[in-house]
Amino acid sequence: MKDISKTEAKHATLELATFYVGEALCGMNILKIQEINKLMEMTRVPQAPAYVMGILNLRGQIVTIVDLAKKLGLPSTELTEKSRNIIVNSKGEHIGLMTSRISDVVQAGSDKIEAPPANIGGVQGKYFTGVYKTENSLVGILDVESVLMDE
Amino acid sequence: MTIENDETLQIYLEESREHLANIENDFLAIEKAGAEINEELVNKVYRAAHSIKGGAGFMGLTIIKDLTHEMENILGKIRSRDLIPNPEIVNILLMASDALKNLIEDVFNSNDADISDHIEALRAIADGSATDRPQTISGPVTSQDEDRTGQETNDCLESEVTQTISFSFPDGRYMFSASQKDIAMARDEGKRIYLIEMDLMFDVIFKGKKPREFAEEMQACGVILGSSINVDSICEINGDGDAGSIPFFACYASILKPNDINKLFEIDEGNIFEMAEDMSVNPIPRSTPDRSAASRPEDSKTGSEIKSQAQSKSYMRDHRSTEDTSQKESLNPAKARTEAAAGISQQKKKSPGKQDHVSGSETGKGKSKEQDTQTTAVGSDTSLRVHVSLLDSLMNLAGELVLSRNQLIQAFSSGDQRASELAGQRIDLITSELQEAIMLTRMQAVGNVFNKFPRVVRDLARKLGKDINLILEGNDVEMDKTIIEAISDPLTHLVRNSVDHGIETPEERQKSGKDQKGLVRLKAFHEAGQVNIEIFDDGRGLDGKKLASAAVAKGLITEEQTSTMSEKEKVNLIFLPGFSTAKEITDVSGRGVGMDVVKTNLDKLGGVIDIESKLGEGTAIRIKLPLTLAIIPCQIIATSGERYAIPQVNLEELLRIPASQVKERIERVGYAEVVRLRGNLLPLLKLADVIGIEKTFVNPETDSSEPDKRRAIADRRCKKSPLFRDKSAQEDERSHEKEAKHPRGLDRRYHAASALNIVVVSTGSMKYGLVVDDLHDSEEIVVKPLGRHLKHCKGYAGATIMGDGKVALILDVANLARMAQLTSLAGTDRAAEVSKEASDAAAARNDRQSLLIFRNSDDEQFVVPLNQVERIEKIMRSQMEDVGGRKVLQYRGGTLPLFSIDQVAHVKPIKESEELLVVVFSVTGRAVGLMAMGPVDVMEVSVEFDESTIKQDGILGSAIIAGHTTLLVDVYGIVKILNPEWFIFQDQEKVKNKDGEAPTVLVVEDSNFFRNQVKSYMEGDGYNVVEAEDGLDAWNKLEEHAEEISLVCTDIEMPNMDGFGLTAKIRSEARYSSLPIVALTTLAGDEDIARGKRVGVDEYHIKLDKERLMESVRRFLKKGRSI
Repeated sequence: MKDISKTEAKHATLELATFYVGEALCGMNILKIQEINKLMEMTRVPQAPAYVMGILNLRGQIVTIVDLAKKLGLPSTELTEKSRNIIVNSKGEHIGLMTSRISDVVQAGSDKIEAPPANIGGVQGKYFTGVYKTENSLVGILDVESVLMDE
Repeated sequence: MTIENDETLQIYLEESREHLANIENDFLAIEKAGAEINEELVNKVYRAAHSIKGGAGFMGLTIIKDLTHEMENILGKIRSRDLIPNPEIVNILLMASDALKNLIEDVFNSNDADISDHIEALRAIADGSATDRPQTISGPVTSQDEDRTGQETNDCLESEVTQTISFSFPDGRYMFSASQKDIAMARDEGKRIYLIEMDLMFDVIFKGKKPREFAEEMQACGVILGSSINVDSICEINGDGDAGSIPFFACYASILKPNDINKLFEIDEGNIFEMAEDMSVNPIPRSTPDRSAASRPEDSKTGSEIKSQAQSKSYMRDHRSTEDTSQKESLNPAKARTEAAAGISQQKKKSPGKQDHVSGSETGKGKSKEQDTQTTAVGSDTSLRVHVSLLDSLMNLAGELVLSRNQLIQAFSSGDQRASELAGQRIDLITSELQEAIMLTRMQAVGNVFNKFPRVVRDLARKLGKDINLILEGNDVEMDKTIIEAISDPLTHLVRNSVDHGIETPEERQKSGKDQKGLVRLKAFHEAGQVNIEIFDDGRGLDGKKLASAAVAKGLITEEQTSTMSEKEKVNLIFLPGFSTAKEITDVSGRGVGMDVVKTNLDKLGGVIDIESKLGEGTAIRIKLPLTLAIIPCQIIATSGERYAIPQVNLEELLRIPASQVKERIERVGYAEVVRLRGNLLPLLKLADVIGIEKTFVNPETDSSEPDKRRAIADRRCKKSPLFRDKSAQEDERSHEKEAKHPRGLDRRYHAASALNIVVVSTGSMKYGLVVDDLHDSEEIVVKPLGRHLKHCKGYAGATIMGDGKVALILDVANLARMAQLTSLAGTDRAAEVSKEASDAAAARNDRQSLLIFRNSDDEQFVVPLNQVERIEKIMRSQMEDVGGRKVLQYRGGTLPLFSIDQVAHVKPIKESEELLVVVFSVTGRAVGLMAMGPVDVMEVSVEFDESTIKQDGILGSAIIAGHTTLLVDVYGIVKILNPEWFIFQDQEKVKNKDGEAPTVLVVEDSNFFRNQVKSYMEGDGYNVVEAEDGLDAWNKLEEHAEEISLVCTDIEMPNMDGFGLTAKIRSEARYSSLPIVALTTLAGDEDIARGKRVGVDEYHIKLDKERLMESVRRFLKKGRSI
């Protein structure tokens, strides 16, 4: 983002890919992301955990699609034109995170990242490593590995 | 110890493994042959041991070498018939070969292994036959020593060990002396002795080799027994190059053949000589075309590496082929004596064990690669032997694939649709061929597993004191390597079980009248794209009752469940987890883990196991396995718009029940639905219910609140049989919803018909029907694993990608059944209950009859027993002819007399219509046609015929069938009335008993109707009849009229005592042994017939088939029982 001065960007910045989960703006380390696509041809998996939306074929590989909203305790994501799959590589397998829409990539200086507020404990709290303040919004930084921890 | 370089070692290990794999069975064969020694076989084993030994010496694997050496000694003795192989000797040899196997497997630590036990045991055998020679040296003893026997040996032993021999080049230029022992030892290892004359300057240094490397290379490939160098000229090596020659003479022992030896030295072949057995020294033959390769510049590393690989390969190959010739010679004592006589001078003894130096030096490559070598794992799964022709075909296919790709690219760039189609087809073809070829590389013969069983069975049988003949069939059936590896343990377990629990001890076998030698047969064969493996033993078989009571005692099943289980189900109880049948736990089988582990392992492979056992006769275990695991043929099905794949392995059949039959064929038992399938009841599961599609159905393509609605519909299902109507309605509804937003017309096409599509699947002993919406094609699919978030979904075995790029789940039918709590027992239990109820009910009423229903006029319905009917023809009235006052029809080249019921009985005349049906019967060997009207139908009913109300000529009785009063037609009677002359011949030939009176027949039948029928048949033929209502009554009557009764004609299904019981009772009495028994039945099932035959029924006849019955009665009364 333009607002961030170059000096700040130079030391200890974290590049965050931001996206919307429902109406909440979240971000994650961009280096964790393999690709973002809009493949929606999912196959339902009956009896799968509620947060699994289905599986899809990513160039010959079976990818499990996780509904981030559901995982974070929000109402399940509705698929729209803007929905995107963020494919991450976690523990040797590809997993897709379904988001409502994606947003910018931001350079987050470490001084602008704060610990998550104490009052967001519970389901959501454990998935956030911090909160990044931009000028007009807050980005919750997701810890992908703990989100994808199998239950 | 250093280890030879990687490739050589690998090749050595692989070859050794191959040798060892065969050695075991050969030992067993040798044991079997006993004193009749099959020399060829012994030679084969000898060679195998020798090859391993030779290679071990070459590699510096001293322990392996020592062990094989001792084995070789024994084998040598067996070959020379100094030793008769008996089980003890073979046992020790087998144990030694086991130890050898372990050494080979753990080759890097082999030199630290302790094999003294084996060595001692082997030496003990050797000593046992040879004279008690001192065995003081710990190092290897040459077979030459061993082979000499008696006094002679002792005489020359002392001298021989200290002997040296001298020999020289043919021109006598240089004299070598080397220890006789070293030479003998080298020969013993299959090495040849060469004399080499070369020039270190010209042949080594000028060729860019370093003298040190050269020496190392020499030592890696053999042993330098003696060498000499012109010391005076050495100082000139460091000179400026034109230093002249440094002559070098060597006596060199190597396993290289004369053709290959010069690859090492690369000198003029005229300077290499081979010393033959008789000490004559001859020039080696001029080399083969290989020479060109050898003379290539050596500078480039890759070049030399390739060469050394090639060499090492040829070493292995060559020494295998050469050793036996040289070995035979060196083992021949006579030859050895000639050698001794050939001017051998005695000198100082050299220390034995010189071969060890071979590998003590650096490897032929001269590069220190040991570190890498040490870390490389040597396992059986790291490399695979593939036939070169297969690789060639793969190469060809790859080439073709590239060509087709080029075509495709070209076609696309030029926009030529047709060409791209063609290229596409080609690629399709090549892909499948490629797939097949690659599959083949992974294929291995099942013999790899089978071959270990002779040993397993032998050892076990010895231990248990049993005598067992093992037959292996289908050794060459091939399967995927992974499957071969995975079935090894389960199969071993099963074979051990057969030997341990199946086959009885010889005493027991003798008692039960069996051959003392038990039989275990392993058979592999292809069937329906699967490999079947059958393990059969003719042992004591499994006792279903015992198994069942054991299962009950262990709390695995309940008492009630056992009561309804079939024998086969009881036998299959053995697969229940926690079930071990061994009375006492032996260390052989029954080690706490049981058949359930076998089953689980096979399940993992997609295999199916099934047991069939007859108490006292044996057990057959059948395993069905897929050929490969990576690509499996599957049936694609669809439910709720998603496709699923069901592995063909589990697929039994596809069943489609038309909407009109759903009501009749689907029944509910409690909460379970079952379908009638060929007399059995098959539990049904609805896929949608099992995987709970209704509940989790969140249609990603629609925004409607469908899930709620659907749940409501699904909940409605608890009514009686309209269930399936509901289902179709519900599906229609759903499909309408779907089609409105997302049309999928084709998938839904069956729903309108509301027919039921059932996939009959089986896993082991369990079989059930899976109700799905739609059946698609069967396809070969590639199995892909599911992510970790889905590992709790037990219903799926994985996923696959369909042709359209979408993903389909692969169903795991065994787990689906588990999820639906359809355990093998519960499922079949219910089914058994129902079928029992049904059969009880049927038995309680009467026997079921298959009847052909037809009409004469619109409102009169007739039946005839279906089994009397030969054919039904549809004719036009115009085809009928009126000849000689009779209606006839030209039929199959003859004339078929026609009649109608109204000609005899008082029924309405046959309707005047253009089309007629002719029911063809056979009466007294002639065909007759009964004119009738449609519609005809076949019904299986159990009705009691009323034989009094409407009885008249041509009509046997009446009954209510399908709401109509129906008359049973007496075809026989009608024909007799119309054509009395047909029967005259038979009437004349009345059978009389020995007193000249008519014989008496005991007719046993619980139904009045049938009893009277049969009675009338009998009386019609002039026999006296004694009637009985059931078996018990019959027995009493038989006792009463024992003298008169000369034949029993009995029904099967009867109260008090049934036909089987009666027959068994009669047959148990010796005085009735010649009494013929004819059984009458309505539905002659093969099982019943077989059972009847077992208890002693002479013949089976179908009720109301008067003709055959009477024919057989006549025959029996005339000739008696044919025993």
